[in-house]
Amino acid sequence: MNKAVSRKIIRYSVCLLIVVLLVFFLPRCMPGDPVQCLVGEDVYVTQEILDTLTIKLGLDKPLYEQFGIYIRGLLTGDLGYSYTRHQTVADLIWSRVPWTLLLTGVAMIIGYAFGILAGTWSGWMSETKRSKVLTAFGVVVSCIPPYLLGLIFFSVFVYQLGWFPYKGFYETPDLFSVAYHMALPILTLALFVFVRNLIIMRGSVLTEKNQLYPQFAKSLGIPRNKIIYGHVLKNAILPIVTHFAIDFGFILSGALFIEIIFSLNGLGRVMYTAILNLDYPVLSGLFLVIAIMVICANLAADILYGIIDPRVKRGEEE
Amino acid sequence: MYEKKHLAAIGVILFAIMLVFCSGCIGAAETNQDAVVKIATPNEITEASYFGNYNFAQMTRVTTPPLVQVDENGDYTGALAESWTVSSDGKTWTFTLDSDYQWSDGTPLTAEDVTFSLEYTAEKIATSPAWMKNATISTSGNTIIISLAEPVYRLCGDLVTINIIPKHIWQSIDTPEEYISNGPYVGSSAYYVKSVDINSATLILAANPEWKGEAPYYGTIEIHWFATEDAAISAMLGGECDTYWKYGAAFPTTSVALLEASDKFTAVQTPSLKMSYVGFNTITSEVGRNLAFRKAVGYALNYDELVEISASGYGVSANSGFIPNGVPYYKNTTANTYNVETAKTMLDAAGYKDVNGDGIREDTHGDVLTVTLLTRDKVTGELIKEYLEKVGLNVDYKFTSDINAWVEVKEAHAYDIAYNTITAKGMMMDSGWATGYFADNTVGTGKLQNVDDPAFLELCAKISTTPEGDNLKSLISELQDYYAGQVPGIALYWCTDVTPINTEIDGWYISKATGIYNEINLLSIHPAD
Amino acid sequence: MKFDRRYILPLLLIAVLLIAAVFPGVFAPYEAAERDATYQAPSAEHLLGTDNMGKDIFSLLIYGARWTLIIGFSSGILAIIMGTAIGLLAGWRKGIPDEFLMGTTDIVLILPKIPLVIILAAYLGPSPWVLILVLGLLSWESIARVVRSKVIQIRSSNYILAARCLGFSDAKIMVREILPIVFPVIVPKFVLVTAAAMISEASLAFLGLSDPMMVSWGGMISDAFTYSGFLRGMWYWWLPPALCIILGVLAITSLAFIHERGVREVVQL
Repeated sequence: MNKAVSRKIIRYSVCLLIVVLLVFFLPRCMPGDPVQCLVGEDVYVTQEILDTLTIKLGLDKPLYEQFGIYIRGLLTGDLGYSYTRHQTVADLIWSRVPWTLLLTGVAMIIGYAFGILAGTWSGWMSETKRSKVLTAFGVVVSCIPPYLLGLIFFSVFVYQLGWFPYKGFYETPDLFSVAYHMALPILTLALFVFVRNLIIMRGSVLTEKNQLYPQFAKSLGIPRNKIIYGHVLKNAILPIVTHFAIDFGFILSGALFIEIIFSLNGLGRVMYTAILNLDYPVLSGLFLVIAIMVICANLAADILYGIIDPRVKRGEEE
Repeated sequence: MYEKKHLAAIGVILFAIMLVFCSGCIGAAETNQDAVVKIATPNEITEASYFGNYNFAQMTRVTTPPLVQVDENGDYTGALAESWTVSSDGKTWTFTLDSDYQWSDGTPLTAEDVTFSLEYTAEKIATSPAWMKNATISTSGNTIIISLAEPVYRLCGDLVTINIIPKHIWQSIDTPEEYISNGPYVGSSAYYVKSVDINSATLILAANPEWKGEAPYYGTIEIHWFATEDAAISAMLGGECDTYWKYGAAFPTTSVALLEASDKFTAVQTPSLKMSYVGFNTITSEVGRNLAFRKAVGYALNYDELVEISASGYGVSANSGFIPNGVPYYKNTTANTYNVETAKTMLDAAGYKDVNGDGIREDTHGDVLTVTLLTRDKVTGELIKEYLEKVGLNVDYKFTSDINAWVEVKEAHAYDIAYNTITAKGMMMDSGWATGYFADNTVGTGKLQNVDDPAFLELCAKISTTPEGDNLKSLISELQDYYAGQVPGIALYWCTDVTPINTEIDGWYISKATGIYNEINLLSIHPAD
Repeated sequence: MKFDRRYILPLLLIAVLLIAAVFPGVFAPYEAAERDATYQAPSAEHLLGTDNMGKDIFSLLIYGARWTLIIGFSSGILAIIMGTAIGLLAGWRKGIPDEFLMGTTDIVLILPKIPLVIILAAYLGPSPWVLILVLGLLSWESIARVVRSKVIQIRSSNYILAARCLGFSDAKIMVREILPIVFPVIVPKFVLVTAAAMISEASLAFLGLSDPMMVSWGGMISDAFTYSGFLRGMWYWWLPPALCIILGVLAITSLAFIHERGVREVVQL
């Protein structure tokens, strides 16, 4: 473990602490009875349950003791209980996480792979008409709110053309059915990932292009494709890795919207239902889990960055 | 001889007709195992929990039916119970079971199952009705006797939501609301739940082999749920599903135009028990307590436009007697009329004059007359605000986007006029006939509870302890006179339910409570010729 | 300095939107609350038809510019105020402010903003201010960074040293000398935050988490979705506000793009 990564870990821990504090204080700072805020609004529970909950969460005790109880709960994986859905929040979220990760994961792989390749090409050939068209397309797509593109795709490819199914992760739980059902949602999300990486990569390659080594390689008679995809790409890819931090949070949020449009029962639907029912325990738990996923993804990116860029490995920064 | 020949001829003809009918019946009596009917719904089953998920509970009602159900006229008819009687004091209810119903795993359905279900629900489910806690249930043969401590005349209203479940399955499950299973679930009617899959968003009902009644045509019923109403409707219009259903709600009125444009579907309109209204804060608001003001507002509202815009034309403008035509003991009262001039004159007469001539009325102290309008509905709220402004009132518009914020304002009595809606179920809750929405001694979040007039509360108490019959009829008549005379609220319009009917299927039966998703309908639908 | 011709189109577009936002009454043929028959198709009287309440969609489109731009620009302004202040302090003073900046960078950067806005809106009730505050207060990171590096670059330059020797106060030097120099680097950052806020507004409106009392483009699309506009094929209801958002964001980001700062950050939610 080197210095840069350990410093990052400290910062991420602080970030996590902020999220935890937020989730802890929000229901307790709301006007009115905190029990109601911890139970959710649109739900019928008996006074008996409310009383047990007050004791369990220590709501009659000072805040620091409540926080202690809360943290102990978190450490044992207790994210609270959803009274509208009669499940522990942890169970509810964990059962949906794989699906959302499948959607985001595959979309990211496709989006990153094609985005990086197309971005490199577009950056290298930046003067050609085709490159300009591609870039313009990328900029326009990145200006569309994700849910809107989802809606348009739904009405065109599902409703009008009937190429894709209306809902669900599958009809029968087999690979083919899953692939068929997830294709359009994944493509929609992948398109966003693609254009973002296209634009970043294009900019990065443009800078690399003007350096001396590509020219030198060219003079050595190395084939063009090998220069672009072998050397330039490798050097230009660093900004992609740094931007992974912002991107992952964004892509995950995008996935939530896409799940709603395509009736996929993942975290996005959990969130949507929780908003409609004002199911606070679920909303808080979800926020916490999303924050943790983003932090983990960033940590992974930092380690990856260290492997790719030797300067970071030596603990230098900037 | 001549006559005999005739008789013989008639006999032969009759026999032939009978044969044709019988063969038709036999043809229909056979379940086509491959035939599937697909229902699209925006009611999502978020987890496969029979008791824990509200929508799942609604959808399984046709497989494990309650004792009684609601028919197409809004009356109660038997489901699991073939017939029932109630003693004159309202304390003893006797139900006789229909032997057609048998558990799909081959176990016979007995009165024991009913007793178990009622007791189990009372014990394990938080929202079970109060009378269940101290009722004694006894059985003899295939009859069930419910003995109550207090007379309950509207018992059927509660029984329609209590599913009768197999004792041999559920008795070992201690926390039913947390119990999750993807099926199959043993059922007793013509269908049972074969599987439920929240990943593919599909609930599959299969024909119950043990069912002794008339056989349904369709071997499989599939319910597909969608994240949004739009997605569900487009799946239906796109041919992916055969029909559309939503619990407690008809087809969205804004989309009916699409049905009319389609070849495959027609829209069937039925009068609804649902309605929308404005209520006055008659407890703390100065203007709300003023009867003359309330009556004046009655003339300020443009009822035709409300029907046109809020209900997209699928509603009828209401009467001063408040409760819709179609509710039992409805009587005709004067229709609500829109007349800005009358409203203005009445406000003037009530002492709310525009003294300084700025177009806005002043109250009796000479201050600007500001009325606080509370609403949860964007469209209707905006319209009402406009109408009130048109007669010279200054409107403080309180829009609350969620029920929680709405309840907060309501409970603080921090409004003068509030917009609200009444559901079919809510109409008959508490003492019934919409009283639950007015009486301030009821519980419930969606109710305004804006009347504390002792005369009204007394009337409600009387209604709830009076059995069906002429006495009740005269009380309900009195109630409608109260609504018309005291104007605790003004009915804006009575809704019209729109049900999309797939013309390729015949035999539709629409229940007043649950629309097309009811046992009778599932038995009667079959492909059109 | 020669004026770059590529600025003309986006600037023109932004000017049009701004004028529409400030004086909607001049351009809109109808008042925002005026009603006619509902669900009309485009006609001479109603260029884009009417919505579920019979309101003129074209007029709503013009009135909608105001809130959409207010949300966008307020977030942007909040972010530059935060970012510039922290960046100036960090670059000028080094030490604790600098540590703070570098330390909080990652934290601010990775807090998932849309989920945060959603949870806040669920507790506090939907309001444009929640959105503005969250996006404004969490988007200053990159602004602070560029300001800091610019300040470090110039704080040792001769004229700053001269000013210090003349005994000008730090605050005065910052406002008089340094701010004008860092200004060009923060403009593109500002527009990126603005654009991101406009996209977020539309997304939240879709979830029903925007104030229904305000007319905004995101709200119009959400209304079209809620009241069957999509199903009825009323593209003239949802497409124009969608195009306005896209064009608005495009115009704003292209300012930054021309400046050769990556457009990538536009979608930084």
